[in-house]
Amino acid sequence: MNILIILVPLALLLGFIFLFYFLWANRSGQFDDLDTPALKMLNEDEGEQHER
Amino acid sequence: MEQNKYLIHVNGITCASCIQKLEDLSNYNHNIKSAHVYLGQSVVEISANNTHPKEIVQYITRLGFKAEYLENKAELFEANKKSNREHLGRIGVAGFCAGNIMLSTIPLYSGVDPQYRAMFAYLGFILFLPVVFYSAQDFYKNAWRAIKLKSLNIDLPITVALLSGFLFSTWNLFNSEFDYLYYDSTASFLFLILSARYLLAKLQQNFIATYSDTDFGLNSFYNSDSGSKLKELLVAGDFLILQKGQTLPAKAKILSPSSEWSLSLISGESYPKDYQEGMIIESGAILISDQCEIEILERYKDSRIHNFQVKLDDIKKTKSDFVHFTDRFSHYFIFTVFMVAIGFGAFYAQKDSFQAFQRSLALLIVACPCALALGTPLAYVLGVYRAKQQGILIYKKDIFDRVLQIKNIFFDKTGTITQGQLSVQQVIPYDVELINVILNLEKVSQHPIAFALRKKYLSHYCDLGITAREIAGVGLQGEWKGNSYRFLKNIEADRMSSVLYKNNEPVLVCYFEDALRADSRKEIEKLSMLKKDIFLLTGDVSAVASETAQLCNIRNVFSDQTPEMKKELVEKYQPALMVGDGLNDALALQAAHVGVSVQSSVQMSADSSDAYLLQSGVGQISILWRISQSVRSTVYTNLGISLIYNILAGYFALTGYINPLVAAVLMPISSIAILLNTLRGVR
Repeated sequence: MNILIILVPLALLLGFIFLFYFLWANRSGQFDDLDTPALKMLNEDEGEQHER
Repeated sequence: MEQNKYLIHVNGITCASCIQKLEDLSNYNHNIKSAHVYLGQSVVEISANNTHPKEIVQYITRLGFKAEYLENKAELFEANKKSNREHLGRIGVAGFCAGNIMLSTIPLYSGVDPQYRAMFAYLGFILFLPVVFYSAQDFYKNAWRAIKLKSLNIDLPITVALLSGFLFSTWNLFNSEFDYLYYDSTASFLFLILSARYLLAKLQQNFIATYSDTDFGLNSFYNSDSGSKLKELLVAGDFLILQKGQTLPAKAKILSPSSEWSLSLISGESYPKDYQEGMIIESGAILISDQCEIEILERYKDSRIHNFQVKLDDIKKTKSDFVHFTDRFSHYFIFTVFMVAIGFGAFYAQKDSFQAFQRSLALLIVACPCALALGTPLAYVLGVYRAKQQGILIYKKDIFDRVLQIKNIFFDKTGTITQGQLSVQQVIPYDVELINVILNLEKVSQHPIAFALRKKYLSHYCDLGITAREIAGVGLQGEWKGNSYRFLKNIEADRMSSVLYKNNEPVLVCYFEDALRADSRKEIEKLSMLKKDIFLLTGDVSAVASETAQLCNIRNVFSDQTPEMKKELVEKYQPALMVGDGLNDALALQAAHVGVSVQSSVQMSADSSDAYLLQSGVGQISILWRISQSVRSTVYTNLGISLIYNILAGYFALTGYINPLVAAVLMPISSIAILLNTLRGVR
């Protein structure tokens, strides 16, 4: 059972890493608008504008 | 250089290429520095310099979108964005902590080695700290506000449950009573309620239409002899050049020899009227002919159309806020729970003060107001969401309660149940050759008559090489095969027609009408099946009105109605639902218990109403009833579920059967049952 002393903090650390990146993504505005980026990926890349 | 941020509401963003078009604005207009589309809110955020926001709106309109500048909304938008991020951060932390507390609590329930019990218990405590000190902050603020205002709100019991759960568990923890820790159930409850609130706020921001500060169908700038002028700065004696389609901002004298105006906004009359040089015309008229010079006779502030706006604002202020019955219910609920907890504690304390304290606290923790805190608001917002899917934009959430009280339904005629455009009704005699002559005469005309004829008879058209001349204000003239033809308007009170003259001899009469919309008849049938009384309101004369009424089976007709008369009628027949489109309906829409404006309504009417139909026609009105009913039944079943849960949980808490494990199972089950019932119920 002594292994718990290592495993529990390890599991928590892993969780903290994910939480940290979630908060970072949230703060940089990645969840502000979930609808537009989903459609934007269908566009051509920038710099390749061709008028039709 | 100064950069400004503008928010522009854009209708009709549907696909990837629309987004690209809008975000590439900066490539085509050097004043625009950047543009960012927020599809959920149908909003484009634009940074620009050296330009007026209205110019950007015009630019976007030219791209084929319906755009509107949201003045003073930029701050609100930023604030929403900020609070959404904050809220999501709190949810993330609460979710992380709740999940890990649950994991650390399982060993406690399942009987771990005694040497590790303390470790897991303290782990739960440590993980609960961010929940109680960070994630739940908003609840404390709201509860504190309620206390300061000496009222009750739903956040108060949540705060009490949370804090008492925390203090009680922590007290037990420090006394090494590891069997009485409520960290897991309290944290997961908080996580659920935070998530539901986030969902709610998001839906609300996206689907409850934003109110805009309107310039109610009027342009803000008008061309005068000395450049463009703001409508507020117009004074008597100003000369303006109005363009086709513009609305007259104040009473004016007409200087062009002849011009044609639609009075449909003011009086609701469907057919355009001719005005000659020197005639006086009331504000709110829309120019139909090409260009017209006018002399303004009054300030905009004194105009009838401005007067309208003032009246509307007055009604808006006096219209009472709707107090929902669940608000009252929640007051009783909270009051009862507190009273029972205190009463039981005081009574049982004589027997066993520790048990009394513990059981009272258990009651406060498990008594869950989630039907009120989650179910009801979610049901309403989902109702708004479903309505939008079906083509109804809801401006006010309480519309669902009010719709179910409606007894009488009023329809405006012109533009609401009719198309509001001329169409050809009949040609007598039906002569293909003569019709072709008319089409040739009207070839380049921009008149509503010409559009109606072209729409109906385009297949008959072949070029005869006639050069048509306009006879100002009355019609057109041209020669063909040695005969002179004239196509002249015939002024009749109840019917609009034009006559074709061949060498001064009338040879053909063409009748026009304002045709019914395709779905009007069917929808009115559906509504009469709901046992509602249906009325037709119109500014037209009675002959035109009764003809339309007959076509769509409406028995009660009120013709020759001014905007004020419409309002009085609607007030007399409350609770009433009013459907309209024009400026002349705005007062009635505002006064009615529920006001619905149809597509292509003028801005002012749309703003006065509670809902706006996104598809043309009136076909979606009965859907309002269906959604309202499903919202109401969902709210009731939620209350039922919650009542049963709270009575059972309260009983178990007071008799001492509720331990942390039971609470941890019961509380999420009740919240989730309410959520699922709501998601399933509102259709």
